[in-house]
Amino acid sequence: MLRYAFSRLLALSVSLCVASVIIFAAIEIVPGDPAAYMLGLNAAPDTVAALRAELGLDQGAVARYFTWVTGVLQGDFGTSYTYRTPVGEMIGERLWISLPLAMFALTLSTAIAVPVGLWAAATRGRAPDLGSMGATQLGVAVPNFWFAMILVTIFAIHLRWFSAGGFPGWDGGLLPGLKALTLPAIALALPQASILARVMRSALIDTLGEGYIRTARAKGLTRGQVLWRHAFRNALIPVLTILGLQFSFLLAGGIIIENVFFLPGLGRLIFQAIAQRDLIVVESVVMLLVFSVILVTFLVDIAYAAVDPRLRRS
Amino acid sequence: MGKLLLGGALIVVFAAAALLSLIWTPYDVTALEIPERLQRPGLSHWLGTDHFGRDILSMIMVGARVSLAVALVAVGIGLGLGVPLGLLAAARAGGLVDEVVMRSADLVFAFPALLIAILITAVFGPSAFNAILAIGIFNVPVFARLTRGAALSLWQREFVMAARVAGKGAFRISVEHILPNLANLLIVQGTIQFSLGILAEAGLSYVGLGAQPPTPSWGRMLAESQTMIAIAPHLALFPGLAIVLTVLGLNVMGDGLRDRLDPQLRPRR
Amino acid sequence: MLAVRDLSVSLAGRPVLTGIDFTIAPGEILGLIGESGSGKSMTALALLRLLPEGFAQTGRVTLQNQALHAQSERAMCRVRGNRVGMIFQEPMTALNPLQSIGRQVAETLRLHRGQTTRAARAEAAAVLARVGLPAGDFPLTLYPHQLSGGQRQRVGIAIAIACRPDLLIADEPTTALDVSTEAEILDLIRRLVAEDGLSVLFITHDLAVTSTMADRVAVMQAGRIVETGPVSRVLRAPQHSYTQALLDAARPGAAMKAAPTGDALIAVERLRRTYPGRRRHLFDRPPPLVAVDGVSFTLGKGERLGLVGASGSGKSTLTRALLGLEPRQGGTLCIDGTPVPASGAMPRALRAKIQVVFQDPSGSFNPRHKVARLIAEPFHLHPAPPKGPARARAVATALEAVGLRAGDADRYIHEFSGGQRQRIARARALILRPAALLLDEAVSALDVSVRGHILGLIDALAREHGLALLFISHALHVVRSVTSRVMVMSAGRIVEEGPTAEVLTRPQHAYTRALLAAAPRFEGP
Repeated sequence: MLRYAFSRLLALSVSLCVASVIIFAAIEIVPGDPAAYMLGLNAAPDTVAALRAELGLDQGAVARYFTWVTGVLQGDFGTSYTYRTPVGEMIGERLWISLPLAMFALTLSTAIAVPVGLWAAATRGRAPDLGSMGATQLGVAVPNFWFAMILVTIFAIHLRWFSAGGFPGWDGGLLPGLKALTLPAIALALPQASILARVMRSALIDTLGEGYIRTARAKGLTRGQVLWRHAFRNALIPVLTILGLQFSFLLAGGIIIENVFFLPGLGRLIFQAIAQRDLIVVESVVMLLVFSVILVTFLVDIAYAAVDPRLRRS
Repeated sequence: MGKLLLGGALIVVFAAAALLSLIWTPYDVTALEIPERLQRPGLSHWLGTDHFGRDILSMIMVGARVSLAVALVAVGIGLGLGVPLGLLAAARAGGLVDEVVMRSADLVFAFPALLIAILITAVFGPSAFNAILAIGIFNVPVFARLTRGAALSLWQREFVMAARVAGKGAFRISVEHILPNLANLLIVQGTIQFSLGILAEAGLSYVGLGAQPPTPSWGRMLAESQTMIAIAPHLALFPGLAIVLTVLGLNVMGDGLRDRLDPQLRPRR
Repeated sequence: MLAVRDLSVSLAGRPVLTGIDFTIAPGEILGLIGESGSGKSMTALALLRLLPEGFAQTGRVTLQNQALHAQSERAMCRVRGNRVGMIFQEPMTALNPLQSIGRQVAETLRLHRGQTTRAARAEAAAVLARVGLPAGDFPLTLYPHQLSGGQRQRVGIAIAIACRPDLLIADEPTTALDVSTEAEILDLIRRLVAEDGLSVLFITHDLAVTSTMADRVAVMQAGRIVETGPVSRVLRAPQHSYTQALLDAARPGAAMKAAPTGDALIAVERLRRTYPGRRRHLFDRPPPLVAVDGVSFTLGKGERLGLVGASGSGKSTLTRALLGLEPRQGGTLCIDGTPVPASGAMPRALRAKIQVVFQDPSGSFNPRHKVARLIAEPFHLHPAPPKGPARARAVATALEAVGLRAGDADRYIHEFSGGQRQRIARARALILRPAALLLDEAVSALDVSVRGHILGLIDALAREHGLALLFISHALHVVRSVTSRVMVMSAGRIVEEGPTAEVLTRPQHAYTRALLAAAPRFEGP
């Protein structure tokens, strides 16, 4: 188990290194002169020179890369050019919206998808299965930001149960914050839940065709007992894979959904930064998001081992 | 069969609208007719007009062209690069090439399409071309992995052994024996990636990273409708429906294709 | 104990089983024999009412006066695993990979005896010890992947007998095991029958196993029972022509006489094939896995040589190395006097001398090509391959030589039966007139009735073309009547080699003796 975890950890570090090189190259080398790019065409030459000095562009690319990486490792993401504040602080604030939103959506999605998938697999070919699979087919096709707009129209504009956007902050307590994240989380979660429910169902149905399911039935377990005790855990393996992928979709999807609900999260930050050509902020946020995706992949790998004893061998 | 027809019919409708928009649209989508603005659906404007008085139906037709073109080319990039890489990796399974191709595929998976798009636009500025590139890059590892996995099991099949005994090299075997047996799988995955591409393009243009004004796109129509959703909900309704119907059509068609082309493909995903 | 009356099963109106009748007395073993697809497993599942969805069954199944066909699903759940235990063919897939063996055995006990977890675990340990897995060596916490195939099958048996059922259904319980393990499992089942007074429905396609296990046999063909009777009578004096055909096919022919052979066609000297071991971490240098370890032999022109070994003995790897499909890590290989480089890369002219027929008659053809293209594929090796009408003529000749029609060239492979596919495989292998043919388990997947024809065809073709044959098989009895010399392979080495008749009657090596002793013999009348 330890060796397995270690080998996955090694893979994680390698991925991180390569990802950081790609991001650095894309942002700081491809544009040629980042300082000139950030300041636009009308910038005065001495302003550009000042920024070049600030960014340390007189150093070579390799040296700058290592300066950047050591900074990031110590939590120093550099200083935003437009806001003149440390990027680390800006990200820290925004993270407290984006991360809870993704987790909220992931929880909702799992809580909806698992029972629906189980139910559909148990009633395979009959009305509940056909009905829920039809609904998920539709759910997969709906863009989450459009769904968000529908939710706003119904629940914020007409019913006035929720506010149409904005975020009160966590200082006012947990509930107002969660309430503000509810519609965005539903909008994010429902399309993902549709995908997950379909995966859950087909994984269960695949598993139900396995030899050990026949053994279990021959032992005298009922269909329901077989589904719950033998099929479910075996079906979790493909479901975990999708769940890991979904986290990255939720983070990315969150960036868009934040725009619909005017949530001051990482998504808003990155789009403002793009508009203002604040490459330092873009670089840091992208690196953070890629880091979280890679981290989740690692956690999913560890979860495989928890589910599957075949991976645990020492 | 019913699925294939239903899905296919939806796609044909949108594809026809997209092609028609090349030569004719009911109204000019670049002309602003302020007096005509925010009309409800009616006889002169079947789906109404937006806040600049542009005809929604015309915009949806042009938007279909953008959406379908972006997603189709992105699938083409994925197939064109991913399939040869997957075939190569499978033919040299366990070797250095295989390792490099697969590790790169893993790495690209760490960058959701949106992040690739953000990186590209941060440097080159937003455009439909960059949206294609972002979605296309994301498609490459999808097809590479799928191709490698399926090709690996085909390489173990005895008919490939027989071809090797007949002295055929890896390239000829990949082309003559592996690829034709992957065709069904790739067609089905192609429709899935096509529908994901439509969704991704809509998302990118919604946040302004896709096709730029004055070219209409479904995603930006939705973005622009947002501030007027209380007074003119039809502005948000029709582009959204267009996306849903196109994606639904592709998914249903993909299911139908899968059922029809190869029953063996059905369970795994 | 068990009485089955007029049991019929149909799928979408198409009959699968028709009017099955049989009884099993207390303590009796009834052998149900027939070829694959005859409906044996279907019968077993129908008894337990476990047929897959879509199948409809009618008829009466009575277990000790309890009418199983009339029970509710809930009541059937109390019968399954409690009064009727079942063992399945594939021990590799019959156990849940994510649960420990103790938990899987205990589950049956908890379910039917209502025992607490602790009591059930203690009892499970006792049951596992009974089937030869004492807790000292095999703790309950082991997972299936930590056990061998035979050990997993023992766990399967433990699950089936945990609640001391009245009836045990064993569905090809040893088919997936190698011969020595098979003998141990059969012994175990016999012992349990004696100890518990079990009635057994023993399903197998293997007449030899039946003759040593069963008291009575029922012979199945195409969903019907064609003959039932005491095992001694049915196997000695069969009344149905199908039973007779089964017996004829299973009876070993006389071993071939050792024949003088020509010059060496294939000469192998200390051939070694290794695979890189599994890396445990990034900087690990694992020891290589040795699949073929210093094998030497020669195949003379026109000779018929057998290569026998259990699965995993390295015989398939050796075959691929001989064909130049895999590199060698040591030793030399000469074909018709020409050395083959270690990479396996062979000039085309050399490749054309050796062709191969694989085990799976459906898997060895590209389903998307027509027969003409399939069997003409080796022309790739020809320096000047025939084109147009000449090619068509060559294809037609090749098809006719194996007993098919020239018109078959335009059909796809799925339009042919298993036996016909084997013929097509031979047409492809022989179209270049090779000097040697490797037959890799080439008749193992065939039903016994077809197998005889195909072996006859090979014999005729070999005589006609003066072919050398290398028969590769896991079963001694298959090579017995068609080879003059045989090699026995175990763990990557040739452990014994000699004239077939001599090796089979006076085996020298312990492994050969074990193979022979374990293989249930069926001598016939």
